[in-house]
This record gives sequence, structure tokens and C-alpha cells, in this order.
Amino acid sequence: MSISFITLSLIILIMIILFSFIKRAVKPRLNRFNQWKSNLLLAGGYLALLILLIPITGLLDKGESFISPNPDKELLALTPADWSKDGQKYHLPADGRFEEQTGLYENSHQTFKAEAPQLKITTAENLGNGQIFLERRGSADGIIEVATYVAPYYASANGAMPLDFTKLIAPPQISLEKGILKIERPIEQSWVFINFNDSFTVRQFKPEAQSAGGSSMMIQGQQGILVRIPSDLEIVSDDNTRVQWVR
Amino acid sequence: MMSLNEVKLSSVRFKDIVLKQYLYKLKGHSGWIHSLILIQLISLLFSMSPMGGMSSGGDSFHININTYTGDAFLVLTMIWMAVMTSFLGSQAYRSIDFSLVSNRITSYVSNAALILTFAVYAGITGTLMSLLQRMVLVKSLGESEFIFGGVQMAPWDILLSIFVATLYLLLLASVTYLIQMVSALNKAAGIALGVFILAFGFGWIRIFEFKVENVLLFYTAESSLGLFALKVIGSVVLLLGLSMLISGRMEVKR
Repeated sequence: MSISFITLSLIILIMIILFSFIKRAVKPRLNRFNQWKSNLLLAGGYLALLILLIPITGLLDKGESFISPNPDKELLALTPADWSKDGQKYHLPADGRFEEQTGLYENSHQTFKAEAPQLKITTAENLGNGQIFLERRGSADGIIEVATYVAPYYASANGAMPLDFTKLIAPPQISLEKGILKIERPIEQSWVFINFNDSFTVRQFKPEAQSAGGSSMMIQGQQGILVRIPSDLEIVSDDNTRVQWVR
Repeated sequence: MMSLNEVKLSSVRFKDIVLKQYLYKLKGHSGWIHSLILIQLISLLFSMSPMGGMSSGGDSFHININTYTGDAFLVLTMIWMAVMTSFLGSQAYRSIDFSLVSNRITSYVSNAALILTFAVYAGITGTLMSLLQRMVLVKSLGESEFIFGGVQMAPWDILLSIFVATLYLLLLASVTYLIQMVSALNKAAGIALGVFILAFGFGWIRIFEFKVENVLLFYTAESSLGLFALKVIGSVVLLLGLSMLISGRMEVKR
């Protein structure tokens, strides 16, 4: 959390100090009442304040599935229940035909102008699990198309609805320079997903949410890169294990 | 021979006396609200740590799923309740009782009403503090943090939590009160009872081949609300009844 334990401790400490000052300041007035009346007022005020939080938290929701100052929240989704039943339901197609595979997300699409009769493909050593598929197009128009795909990534904790964060996954960084197509590692990303669970007083009567921490899982999808080249372009790759032709 | 009018009159007097004592004690002990608010604000600090979740990563990313609950508020409120009830049953407080026009039963019933009032109030505020926790978390969200699954508590869940928390607080208060009553009769017996309840309540005791299961499970493992309420109310009546029996055997003033 951006608000730290120390910050909150300080806030509460300041509140307590302020409260004692206010109490001292208004004490002469309070003395007009009996002490119990001021305590009763405090008890009523405290309760009213907490009751007021019921509609306020309702307004915080705004009917959105995700709350965050990050505009990328629109890219998040709650995973359909059937996804988590058989683990990795959606894989990358082994034959590289991405358009025909359901459940995949194209997270980047770039086009480059072929600068030489040969194209060399270099990949970063720490690229990760991305497989590169090459497809030769029918025309010799000198256009190189590079699209990156992601199979679903989702995670859940404590029996909460699995969270689909596939669309947040950054694509590899791809550039074409002097006839070399460089595929580099994506930018490092980090996210915190927060969910609220019922207190034990409610969990006890909901068998589906018995544990506060509960079990958790993350399904890591696959990533693929599809490079579509003109019919007359010759390919040279320094990592043949990672490159495969679309059948 | 007692006439009907006399019975009616004594019954009205009993109610009046109990009500007067209850209101007097409520006014006298109203300062306890400060300690309750303080303890619930302190528990807000504890509640800022997630109760569970997971941490995982891929080739170029790292995720944390943090689950927050309002358990900290209820647990600390329970501790507050136990401390407050132990004060109520202490020798010093019982001595103050004798300055009132009362007998053992009126004093006892007014104490029970006071405990019920505190339990209901603490149950409501302890439950609603979860909303404050949620609001603080929403307002302090960072750029890479996302809340999912909603912030709101369902109205039924709020009511359920208040009811169950109140029952737990009552149960805890009646156990504490019984220990205090036994302590007043015999300090060693009171300590032994406290240790016995703690050991049987939270731990597993094995006597040769006889294993006493966790007594706490009798309440916490009950998933039927009706049965749970019956178990707790039955236990509270039994425990408070025992306390009343014990207090009836005490000398006027020690």
C-alpha cells in the first residue's frame, strides 16, 4: 500500500493528540452537561459516523469491477468460472495460426519496411517463454508485420473470482535496425491486487469462504510473436530453437 | 399469606430498581466508550496488513494478491470486552454496588443488562469499522494497485456480522464474568477455571487416551446460524446463571 504503517500510526497519534486538545478546549462547555452526557454524545457520534460509512463505501464502488487510479484498470477482467476448471484452457497454437485460436489477446502489432533482402532476427537472452513464428506472405511488398500474442494469465486468492490480467502483460520490445529485427525483453511490471473478504463472523456461515487467507493460484499464459514477411525476404536467425515456421 | 397486589408491587419495584441501577451504571461506566474508540482505532493499524493472499511472478512481471478482512477489529474488540467485563466483576466495582439500594439479584441483572448493552454497541462498531478500513485502503491506492470484488459490504452480511459478533462478545463476557465470580469466592479456583477454559477452549488436551477436542470448535465450526445462536444463548444463560448462583453464596461484603 502507498500508505505505510508508520504514516497511519502518525495519523492516529495526531488524531488522539488533537482529540485530547479539543477535549481540553471544550471541557468548560462540556462541564455544563454531566460527564455521561458528553460520553453519550461521543458514543452516538461515533456510531453515526460509522453508519454513514455504509452509503459512502457504496459510492466508492461506482459500479466498477476494479478500483484504481491506474487507467489500465479497464484492461482487467474477472475470469469466467469455467477457465479455472481445467487450468490452462487456452494455449498458443502449436502451428502458429494465432488468428484461428480463441482466447488469445494481441497485445501489440507493428509494421516495418524491409531494408535489405535478408532479415536477421536476434532475441534477448532473457526474453522468457516467447516463441517466434514466421509466416511468409504471398506478396513481395517489402512489409514486415510483427504481432505479439498472449494466452490468458489469471490468478485468484482465497476463492475469490479469478482475475484475468492478460491485457496488462507488456509485449516484448521490438525494433528493426539495419536489417536486424531485435526482440527484447518486455518492461518489468508489478501489480498489487486487493480484495476484501468477510470477517470470521460471516465466513463461518459461508462454507465457500471458510478461510481468510485461503488457497491461491496463478495460471501463467504463453506468449508468442508472429512475424509475417514478404515472399522474397531471406531469414537469418541466431536462435533457431526459438524460431519456427507457420505450417 | 402474600396477596396478589403485593406480588405485583414487588415485581414492579424489582423492574424499577433494575432499570434505575442499569441507567446509573450505564452513566457511571459511559467513560468506557473512550477505550473502545481507542482500541478500534489501534486495530485499524493492524487491519492495514493483509490477512492472506499470494505472491507470484512471470518472466517480466510480479503480482501480489492481498486479501483484507475486518477480523482485527473484532478480535481487539473482544479483548476490550473481556477486560471491561473483568472490571465489572472485580471486587472494587462490586464494593461500589453496595452504595446503591440493591440486593444480589438486582445488581446482577443490571450488570447483565450493562454487558448486553456493551456487547451490542461493540458488535455494531466492531463490524462497521471494516468499512473505515476499506475506505482508507481505497483512498490510499497507488498507481499499480487495483481493488477487485467490490468495496461495499452486503446489508445482510453487515447484519449477520453484527449479530454474530454480539453473540461472541456476550459469550466471552459471560465466561469472564463467571471467572471473576469464582475468583471472588476463591482466588485459586478462579485462576484454575481461567486456565481450564483457556486450555480447553483454545488447545487440545489429552488425558491418557481421552482426547478433549477444542471446545471452541463447538461454536466456531457451527455453520447453521440458528444452531449457533441457540448454542451461544444457551451457554450465556448457563454461564450467567452459574455466576448468579455463585454470587448468591457470597458474603455481603468482603
